[in-house]
Amino acid sequence: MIILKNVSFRYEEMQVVKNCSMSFSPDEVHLLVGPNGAGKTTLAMILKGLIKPSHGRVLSPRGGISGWRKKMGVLFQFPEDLFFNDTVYEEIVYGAKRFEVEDIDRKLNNIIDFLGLDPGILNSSPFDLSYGERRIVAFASILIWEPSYLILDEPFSGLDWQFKDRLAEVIEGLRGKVGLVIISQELDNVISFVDTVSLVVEGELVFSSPIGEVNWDEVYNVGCDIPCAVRLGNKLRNNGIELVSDAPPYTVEGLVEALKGSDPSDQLTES
Amino acid sequence: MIKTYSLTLKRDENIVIQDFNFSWSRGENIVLVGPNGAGKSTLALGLSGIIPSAPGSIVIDSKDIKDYNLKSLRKKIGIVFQDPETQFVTTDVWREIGFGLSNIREESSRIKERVDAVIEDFNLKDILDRDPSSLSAGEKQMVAIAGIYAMQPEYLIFDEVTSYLDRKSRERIYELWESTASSLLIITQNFQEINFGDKVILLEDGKIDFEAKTEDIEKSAHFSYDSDFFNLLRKNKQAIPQYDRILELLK
Repeated sequence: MIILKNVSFRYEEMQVVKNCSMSFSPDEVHLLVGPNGAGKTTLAMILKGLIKPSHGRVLSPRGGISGWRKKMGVLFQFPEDLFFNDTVYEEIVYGAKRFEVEDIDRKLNNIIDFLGLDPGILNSSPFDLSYGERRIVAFASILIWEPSYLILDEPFSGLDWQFKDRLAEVIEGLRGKVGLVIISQELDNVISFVDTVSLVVEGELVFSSPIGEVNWDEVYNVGCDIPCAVRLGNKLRNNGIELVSDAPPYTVEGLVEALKGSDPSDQLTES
Repeated sequence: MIKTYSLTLKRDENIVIQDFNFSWSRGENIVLVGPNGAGKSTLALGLSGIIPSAPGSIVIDSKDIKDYNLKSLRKKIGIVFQDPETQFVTTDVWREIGFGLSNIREESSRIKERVDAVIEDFNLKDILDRDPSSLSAGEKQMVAIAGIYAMQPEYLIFDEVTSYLDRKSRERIYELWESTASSLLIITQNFQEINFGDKVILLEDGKIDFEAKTEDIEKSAHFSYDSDFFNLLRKNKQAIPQYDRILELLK
């Protein structure tokens, strides 16, 4: 478990993060949402220790925060902009080699298998790959470290639906094995396997809630997207269709369950 | 009008666009969709003269793109990228917006006039002295767009500019598109942005796979979710999977 305790961060004259307290567990998927410029990336950098908070602390309950941080991988926005090796193989193993990770080739094989990468591309230049493949390669170069925590900053941006789906599947496959912190404006790709949602606005934590208790109106009102199922569900309710279901209402499956359980034509005539 | 004749474009020796014929009329807004790797960004770079055609040609308003000098080309066509930071070169917002104009050696009085005008239009007064790299993603994108608008190009390309913006920042860009008099080429993965085009082009493997007027697509889609266009989008993994999934589950 990693805990941010009353963390603030000031950049020049700007208070980017204000007194945030939140915790990240190694077996949960934690989604950070908020408008652009809310301080989400800054919080991620504080978590990883890339920048020091001006106030407050980053803690681990049993100490050893520096140990946690060494096992924390970060997929930055546009990670493929950082490529510089001649081959995909070199690109993936570069960091792992530098920090003397053992048994690299075996781990590499496991990872390309897990990610569904074609081993044939290992000798190609990373710059010859499609945009989506590059993102998957960037992901591989972090997974080879076997991180205990993984921070993903807008992992889906610029990807087409095919790669979005593929990456979402990969991320879901890591759930429970790696503590995941996801920053994303695109919620539909991840919402079905998120455990906790934190809303950050103007550097302040508005709430940190289990997924079932999230106030989506609040998320929408600060200028963010909300899951497609929540949006549709709201529209149906506003049109007098009552949706009752035990399934989670923020997933497409949950919404469909609720729709099957209701008879819209009856309700419309009644209302 | 911009026309391409048997255009070929390469990236690192790989042919991405081949034998490509396309026309973009003045005042026409085109939305370009297609999977990653289809060649959308390469086409954008080629049309704006950033990468050379090899072989084939691009003719802008009856003149070959090769016959334009930098100044006249930048006044004809501007491009905004997905990651605005790749576009930034200065350390404050005012200079950043004026950079394109000073790069084509406009007179300083003209630069001041244009920069002040777009700052007013884009409501950027509060962040004038900030370092562009310290801005939020939405602000960065507005500064990058303001810098291009300052040059008043007649044709404007937006290469997936909304892809990591929050809903409000995205809606601000939509308002801008609606109120811009230039001809726009909008490259997007966001299905909802199709509405901003008069025409939609689906690019696949460097070729036009489908082309239709937006109103025709909307008409057919309104009556049938199984329209050719939707089916093509699905084939290219361009459909809106959440809605597809709902329909599938409801069946």
